[in-house]
Amino acid sequence: MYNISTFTVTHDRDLYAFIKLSESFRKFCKNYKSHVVALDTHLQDCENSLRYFKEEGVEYILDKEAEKIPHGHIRQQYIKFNSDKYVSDDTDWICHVDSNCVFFESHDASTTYFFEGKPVMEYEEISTLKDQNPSVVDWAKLTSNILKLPDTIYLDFSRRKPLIYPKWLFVEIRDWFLKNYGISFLDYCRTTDQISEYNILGTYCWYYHRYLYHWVDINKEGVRYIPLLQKSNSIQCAELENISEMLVAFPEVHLKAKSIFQARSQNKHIDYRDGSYNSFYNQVLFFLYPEFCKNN
Amino acid sequence: MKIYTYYQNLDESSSSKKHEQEIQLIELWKNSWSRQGFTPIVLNLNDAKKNSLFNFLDENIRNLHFEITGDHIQEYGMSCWYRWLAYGVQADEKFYVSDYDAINVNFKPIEPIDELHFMDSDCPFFASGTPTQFNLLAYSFINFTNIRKTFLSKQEMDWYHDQEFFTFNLVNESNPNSKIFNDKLNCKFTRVRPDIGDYYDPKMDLSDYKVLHVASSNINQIKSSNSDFEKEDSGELRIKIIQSILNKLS
Repeated sequence: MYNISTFTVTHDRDLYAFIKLSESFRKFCKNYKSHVVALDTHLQDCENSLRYFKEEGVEYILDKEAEKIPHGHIRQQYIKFNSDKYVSDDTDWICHVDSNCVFFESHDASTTYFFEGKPVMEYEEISTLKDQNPSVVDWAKLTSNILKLPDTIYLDFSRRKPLIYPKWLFVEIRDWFLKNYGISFLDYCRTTDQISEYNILGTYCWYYHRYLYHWVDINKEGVRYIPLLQKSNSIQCAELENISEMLVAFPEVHLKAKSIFQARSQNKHIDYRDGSYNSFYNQVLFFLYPEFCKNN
Repeated sequence: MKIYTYYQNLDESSSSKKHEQEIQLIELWKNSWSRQGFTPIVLNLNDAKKNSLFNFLDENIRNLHFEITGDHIQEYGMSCWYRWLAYGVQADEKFYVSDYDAINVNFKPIEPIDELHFMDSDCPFFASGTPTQFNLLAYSFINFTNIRKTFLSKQEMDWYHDQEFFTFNLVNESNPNSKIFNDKLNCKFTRVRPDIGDYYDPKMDLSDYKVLHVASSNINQIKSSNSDFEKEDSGELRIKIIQSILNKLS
């Protein structure tokens, strides 16, 4: 029904994480048009990835223009802003999946990201986030400045992955930079050292294409269930890394945990970033694979 | 200090000549280790089946072997993988494991190092570790093989057993990205020959060795270089040679 491709930018430091994402994609993702991998090539940063991709026949794209951008994190965001150039021609929607994510349950791309005919965009109000994470205020100001908004955006669009955008949006945003800054988006990225791609994309759509999405404030309406886990850089990172690997290796443990949890809980929401659900999952894992779990 | 080995009778008839030779070989293995102060213990398929990873490993290895080689794996091949599961359900904290053709000539019972340790590089005939480490290894057999299966399937292997797992995935020569895997597994590979892992050479002085690897190929090598042994049954010759080694030590 919807023509969706995924797009991932990776580099050597994320190689193992990317391998796990690829494995999860092979296991769990159905009806995607393509899974495009972009390799951030810069100096010696991608030798291990190139070798692995060659050995395993992983298809990837290189964005030669991006190499002109000095900062790695900006370069990778620039490549994402050009994702429309690399997905298959029959793609209408691009689902951006960072390499520190894994899918963990079979799902159909066409029914996962849409509600009543519109893609879902989740957001949180800055006011609810700022105590826990003060940097969101700075990101909101930065995003608003970049997009030349009259007021500072009061929403954050970057925290719930994966995020899905229409293919044409990337062309439009690059044109917007050209019109509003008088330089190409590439030149803009060469001279900046801070940008938040998902906030730029989300905020741009909030201002200029509000009709496009089904908008969800997750603190009021709750989060939707998408079988994807992102390892954040938070204190939970090591635990999430371990769980994400187990989710890919032992898919039956997730299904068992989910069915037990939903059968006996009023709150049927499955979220692996929630510590209490993690503990429950670990109990089921321990029950099914006791020797493996003892100290691993 | 305990040392474990693993034996699975793959012959239909328990009275077959091969089975009898294997039993004799295991007795010689026990003898060589106990005389150096070790407690040798033989594990079997029932021990491996106690490990909750058994079905996970069994199903995945069979599928991966077919994908990589184009052939179904034989039961001998499966036993090479199962043994690590049997080690993974032992209660001891740290211990040694070996093939039953690892003959202890002069290796004393010292405390194993903290890492999972393969003492003859990618040949897994002699190792040490904890049950947790062996279970992580068993999981890694599947995890790493899945990651490398396209590359592995291009290697035109007749079989893919644990030896090939180590050689093609964890050694830098065949996998320049092996560090990524070794970091996950936290294992150490060493090779100090002739001390550990060398084949037996009748011309050598036994004091040069600590643990000999009297593998079938070692016997074939001895047979081809010595016309006196040329017509002997390899299984019987192996037993004779090991017996003579142990006699020299006593």
